[in-house]
Amino acid sequence: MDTTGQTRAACLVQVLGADLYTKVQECKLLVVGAGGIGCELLKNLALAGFQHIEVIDLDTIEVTNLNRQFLFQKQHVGQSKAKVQAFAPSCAMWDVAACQSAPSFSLRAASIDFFRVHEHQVASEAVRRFNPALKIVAHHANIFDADFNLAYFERFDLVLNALDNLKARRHVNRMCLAANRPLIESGSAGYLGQVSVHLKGVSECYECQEKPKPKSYPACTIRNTPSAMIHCIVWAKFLFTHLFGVVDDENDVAPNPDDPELEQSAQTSSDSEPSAPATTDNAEARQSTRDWAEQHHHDPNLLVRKLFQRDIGMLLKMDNLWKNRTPPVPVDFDQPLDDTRDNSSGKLPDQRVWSLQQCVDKFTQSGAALRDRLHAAGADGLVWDKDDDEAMDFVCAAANLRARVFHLAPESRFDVKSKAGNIIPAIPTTNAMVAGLIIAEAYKVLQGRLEACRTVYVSRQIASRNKLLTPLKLEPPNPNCLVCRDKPMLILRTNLQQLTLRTLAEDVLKQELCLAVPEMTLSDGRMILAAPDEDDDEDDRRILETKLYPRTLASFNIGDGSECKVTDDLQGMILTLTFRQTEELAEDQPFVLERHGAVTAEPPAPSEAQPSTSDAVLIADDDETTPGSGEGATSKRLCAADEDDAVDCKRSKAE
Amino acid sequence: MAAPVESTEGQGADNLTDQEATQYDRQIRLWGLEAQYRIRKTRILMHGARGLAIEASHAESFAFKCTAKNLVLGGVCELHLADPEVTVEDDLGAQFFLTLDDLGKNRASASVERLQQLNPMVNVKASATSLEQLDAAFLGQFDVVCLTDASLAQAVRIDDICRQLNIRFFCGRVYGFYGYFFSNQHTHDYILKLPQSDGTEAAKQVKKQKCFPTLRSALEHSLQGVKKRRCPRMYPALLTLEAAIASGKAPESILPKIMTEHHVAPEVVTPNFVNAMYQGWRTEMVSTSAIVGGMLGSEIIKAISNVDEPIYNTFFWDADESSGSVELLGQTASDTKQSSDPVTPAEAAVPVADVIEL
Repeated sequence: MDTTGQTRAACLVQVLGADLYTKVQECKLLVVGAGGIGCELLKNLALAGFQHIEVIDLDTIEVTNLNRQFLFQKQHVGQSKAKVQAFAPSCAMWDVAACQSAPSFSLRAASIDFFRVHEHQVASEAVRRFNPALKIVAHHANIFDADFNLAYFERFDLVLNALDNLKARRHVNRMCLAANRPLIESGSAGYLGQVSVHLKGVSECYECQEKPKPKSYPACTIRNTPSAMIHCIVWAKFLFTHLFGVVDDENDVAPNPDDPELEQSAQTSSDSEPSAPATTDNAEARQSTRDWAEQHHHDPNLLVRKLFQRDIGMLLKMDNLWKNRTPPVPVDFDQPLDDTRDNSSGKLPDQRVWSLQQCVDKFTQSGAALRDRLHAAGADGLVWDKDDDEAMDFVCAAANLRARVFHLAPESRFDVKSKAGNIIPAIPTTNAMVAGLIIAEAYKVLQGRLEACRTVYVSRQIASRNKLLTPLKLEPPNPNCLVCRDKPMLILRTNLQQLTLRTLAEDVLKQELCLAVPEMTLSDGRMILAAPDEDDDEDDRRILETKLYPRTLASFNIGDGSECKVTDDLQGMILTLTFRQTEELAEDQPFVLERHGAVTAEPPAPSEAQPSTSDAVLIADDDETTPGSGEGATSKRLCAADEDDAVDCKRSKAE
Repeated sequence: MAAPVESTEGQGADNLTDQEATQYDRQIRLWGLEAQYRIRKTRILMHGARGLAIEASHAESFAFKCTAKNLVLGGVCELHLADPEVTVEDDLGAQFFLTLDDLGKNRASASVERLQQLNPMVNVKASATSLEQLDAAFLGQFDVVCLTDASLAQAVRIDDICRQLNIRFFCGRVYGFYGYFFSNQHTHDYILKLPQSDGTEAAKQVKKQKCFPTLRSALEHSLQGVKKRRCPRMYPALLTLEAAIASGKAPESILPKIMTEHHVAPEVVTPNFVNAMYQGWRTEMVSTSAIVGGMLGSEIIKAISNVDEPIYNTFFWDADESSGSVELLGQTASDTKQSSDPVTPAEAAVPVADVIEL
């Protein structure tokens, strides 16, 4: 007889009441994500008496996770090779695919180490020990899989997100709206955390407020005129992907002769001097760096000279760029390179800045190792990962070499890693609190007390009045929301003669709108994009890739004012897209997506400031967010914690 | 008696092994290398269940486990678990470090192995030391003392000893959906990182100092003149509950006296509220433990790393309102001259005009 269970149950009944206790026992829960918050959450759910849990997660255990994911221990890293090898191929395929369609995923340790144990398998085992009555089903899978369809979500009473990326969060939000299931969202970034409750028609959905986009940099700044270390780091990461990733010339890092600045100055400065790159180098300029590297067998010694000597020489010839800038100085490999070592004490080895000689050595060493790995990997190529030491060495060396060429202060590998990996440090205490807050709100959802639910912010310093954990009343749904409003309308401004179906499908629909399997039907009934069918074979896909994707929208007779219906059967999304012709967009911005009617929306009350910033922290669980999205971001909106507090806030302003 | 401190690795050497550097990578990015060194040298005493007749109690002090768990993951040098009780069946439902094999064994020593597994680099110890045995000689081994299931009377006694020995003192407890902890770091110097205007990285560090009231003073705190809406209901409720636990009397019979003594505005705390709290006080809800324990663990790390604004000085979690608030209770020696509004803790800080440019 399991008396333990009974005494514990008696206790829980006393605190929760018999009614809520029954609901807890019967509740069917879906937990999406088993990382930092997810681990804590699973443990909490088990101890709180929940018995029916399914968990979906895709990520792998890494050494840096150990400090905050208590379910995993040292021995889990690198354990159970045979088991892992069995599923590793499908895992690797998915990650590569995800990286291509969503750059945000490339930050997520996307290169699969075949010898790492998958988290959820270990997590569910460990959790089951706490609560023997617990039935836990773990899926090592992608939440975007068609298996997790509407019918799947409808099997649950409540969905708990413990994710670390925006794309999956948006997808789960839509699935919960379609299935009409309450969703509790959570996120943490360093000391900051947040828990929010979403229910269709009652409160804001996760996407009612637009999320801040990851920062991007103009291509010309990256390729031609870096002015900050981050530009060099972004360049170095592009370089890595271009050289060792899947072949894709769009990410070339070579000097860009199409810099609009060149054109502009050519027009204004009459015909006094030739501003285009010298014609002798044009042949090489047109050859992609990848092709050049392959021609030269990826010889890192040749590569380092090309990138930091000859390419810089080409840049120098674009003299219009340097009229108001200090011109770069190519590395002179014919002279002995500076090798002044940083020997300062009280630093980790990684915190010491490499000398020029060290940078070249690291570049060639890691470059050679990566070349060998590329040959072994074949067509799939390598995927950049901040925790892959060779990949990190390569990016750090390349970024620092470039920084020296452009007179920027070099940085240590430790600091470069922070910027390259967008690392917001994660700490276990925040995750523990967030996981506790999720349970506290889950009780209210189960009781049907939605009015008592709160969005709770975990802040580092006292945010509003005397609160460290600040409750906010749930907001009603945004009438202009693209996702939870019925049949929303969108306007796409673009050059229809140039925008391809590929860009529309991949960048607009899948990337910007986060659709999983979009279909497009024009107003005359022609379907120009169909969701892949299970029966589709390789040929069908190739037809889409080679015949349809390269065509421009104009070639489908889409013109200014044309409308099309976009549907996603998996997410249950239906929206209308109106095309507007424009030729006035910048090079880096092939299209602009607008919410129809969003302009007329009431601006947020000044006292509440920018609501979107307060959600910034939701993007991050662990490592994946733009730096600076956190500290103090919540403070402005926190003024409206409740009516009392709102009054206080105004008062204190008046004072 | 002060047991010899054992360490699994070289003490005092101010350098991290590669393994440590990799495992603590994220923390070092958060609070810096110096702080990580300090954390590594810290000896912490965590005291668990003791003081009340809770033999049949069902939930062990889960806040303590959360806290200990978080501290171990942060990488402290020594963590000493003390608990005089043995493991009974009831513990297994709440205490995830214990298994059936541990029945009849001391709770602390049974938990040590799992705690140690979390982080082999930390020296985890256990003893059956009771609260009464915590004297100056024993407490003197530690830099931080944290009581997680003590009566207020014992807590006041131990806080007094810790003040004399300059040991940082924390005590806290979880009562069903509610919980609190109190912090006394005496005269605490710390570094505050000021974020850049664009919010990205800390550009400047400022040295600051805070003087903490004693627990004795905190328990005498008066709420005279505090308006009903601003009055922290958790404070009088906590005093009532602890008095009820200590005396065995019904909380509603104690409440009026507490309200009068501390000048609490009427209706801030209702008898229904304290009765509801009292009903579930032995059961530590995992949500409450996670929240209060997480905050307490974070606070202890702040204390020993000397980084960041500390909680000054009492934290309350109220699940009804999903609210985690900080109250300044009690007065420091320097406060007693001026009777300034005690609800504005920020002003009590003593900024040192010493700005270090990084």
